[in-house]
Amino acid sequence: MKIRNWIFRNPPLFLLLPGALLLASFLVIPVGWMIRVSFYQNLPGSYMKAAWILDNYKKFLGDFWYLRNVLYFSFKIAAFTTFLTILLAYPPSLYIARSRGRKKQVLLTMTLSPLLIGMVCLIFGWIVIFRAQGLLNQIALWAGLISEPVKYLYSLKGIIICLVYISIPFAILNLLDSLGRLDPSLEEAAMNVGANRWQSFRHITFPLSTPGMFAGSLVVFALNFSAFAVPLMLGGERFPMMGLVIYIQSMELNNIPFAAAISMILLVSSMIILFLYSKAIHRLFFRRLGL
Amino acid sequence: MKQKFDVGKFIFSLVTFMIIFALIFPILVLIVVSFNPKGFILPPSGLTFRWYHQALTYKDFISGMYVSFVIALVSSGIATVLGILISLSLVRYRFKGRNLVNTFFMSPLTVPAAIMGLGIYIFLAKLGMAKGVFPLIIGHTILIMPFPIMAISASLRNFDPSLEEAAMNVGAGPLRTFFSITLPTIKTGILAGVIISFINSWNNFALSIFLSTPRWIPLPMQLYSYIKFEYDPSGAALSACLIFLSGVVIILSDRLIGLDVVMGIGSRKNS
Repeated sequence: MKIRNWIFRNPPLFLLLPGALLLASFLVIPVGWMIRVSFYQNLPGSYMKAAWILDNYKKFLGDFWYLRNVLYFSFKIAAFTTFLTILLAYPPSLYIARSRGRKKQVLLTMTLSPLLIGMVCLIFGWIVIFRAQGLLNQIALWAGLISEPVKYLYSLKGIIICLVYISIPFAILNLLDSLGRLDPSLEEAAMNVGANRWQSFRHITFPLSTPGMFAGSLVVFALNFSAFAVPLMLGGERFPMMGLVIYIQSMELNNIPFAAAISMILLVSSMIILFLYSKAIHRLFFRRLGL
Repeated sequence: MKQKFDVGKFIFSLVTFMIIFALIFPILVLIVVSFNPKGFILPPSGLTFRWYHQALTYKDFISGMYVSFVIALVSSGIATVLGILISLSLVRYRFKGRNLVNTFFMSPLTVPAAIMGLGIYIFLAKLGMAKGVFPLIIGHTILIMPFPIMAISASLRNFDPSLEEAAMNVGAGPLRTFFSITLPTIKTGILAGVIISFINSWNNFALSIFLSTPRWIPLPMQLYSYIKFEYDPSGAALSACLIFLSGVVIILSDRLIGLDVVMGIGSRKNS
């Protein structure tokens, strides 16, 4: 009886516990366990052996090839695609935030629909477009933009286009979160006191959207830094981004401890990058804007 | 002055519509190809269902559908039931560390899929469990848990708690109140949660690839291995089927609770 009373007086715990336990046992503990496994010794041809060795970290961090062609490469791709994503997500977000009613609904559905369609389908759509005899080359040749087919498939261009494509809806979601609060009368007020379109954007709309841009760029960077399906499907092993290397090491080469160590390096480096980035943003932007 | 102003607006609209068109372009291409008798050779030269027939009678796709259906059904069921409990406590009670708890339940969205997949694989192997249907269900449940929480929390926030108090005042117990007042009012949120989590599990590729065995290969992986070796329009036909399914989901969830709410715009407000 006493226990029953306690449960009903503290429903959060009683309601939260099942979900929390599941999440703890199959997300928190596994990731924690991976830290331990990253110090294990790999036995080539067999499984792995419990140990406390740094070989897996040394193999990655002590090898210039991994640092440059995997870690720095992933960083470069993620930073570039994040920038492009925010740039391309901005106009549709602003347009959607300014529109109302049915039009807004339709545009929102169109821009967010890639989120609910499987990544494999979307990437396959791009493969059809990218192929040497594919749509993009057909159109560009017809329009006279190029004189011979450009190679997109299995090239960096294709990977970047796909990463940006998949990230844009996420960026739009974040941008709409702050642009959604934009009151059109604010822009009108600025125009009424003599500001032109650009000035009202520069001083009213843009500052309002910076939190969304910032949050969106964090999400997109984290997503693309660890991207794995896109480089797997479009580049094969030629473009070793962090996520793909984890997959190849663990599932194809069966070197679990090394894959675990790379996962830890991925998590820690992405945390460091995102931390430094938010520091920099706060110093450069928010303080000046008084936010 | 007036003229210049309109030019700016026109360019802005043009850029916007080009970007939005690019977002649905690959989807349109797949649908066109799937009905095109000449397959990938565009423009379309007619209308055929041959590729659909080929795709829907291909045995790997059928087994993939079965596997994906089982996994998505079970994991979205579990995630939704847990999501109801979690949303109730997150929306109704103002306890210490509520924001932290919310962040914790949203964490599957932030952990990279490769790390989540590898982590679950290593951990279950340690417990002596090989890859297969059970790890797939566990992984998918964890992965999709945030979605029902978002959808159900959104509909709980629109619901007036005084209704519940009224029921309690006339003598209904907490369970009775829950089943006869709370549950019926948030059922659209629950339905949206089920649909969104189902489709996310159904579409998942990055996590499944770490946890599947040859006996249990979900549909997106079947599609991936098919298009890796074969380049024919039946892959496009299957993709088109999946796109139509997602289309139904998009329309349903938009009608039920609003796509923006489900996809997370509303998730951080007052939470």
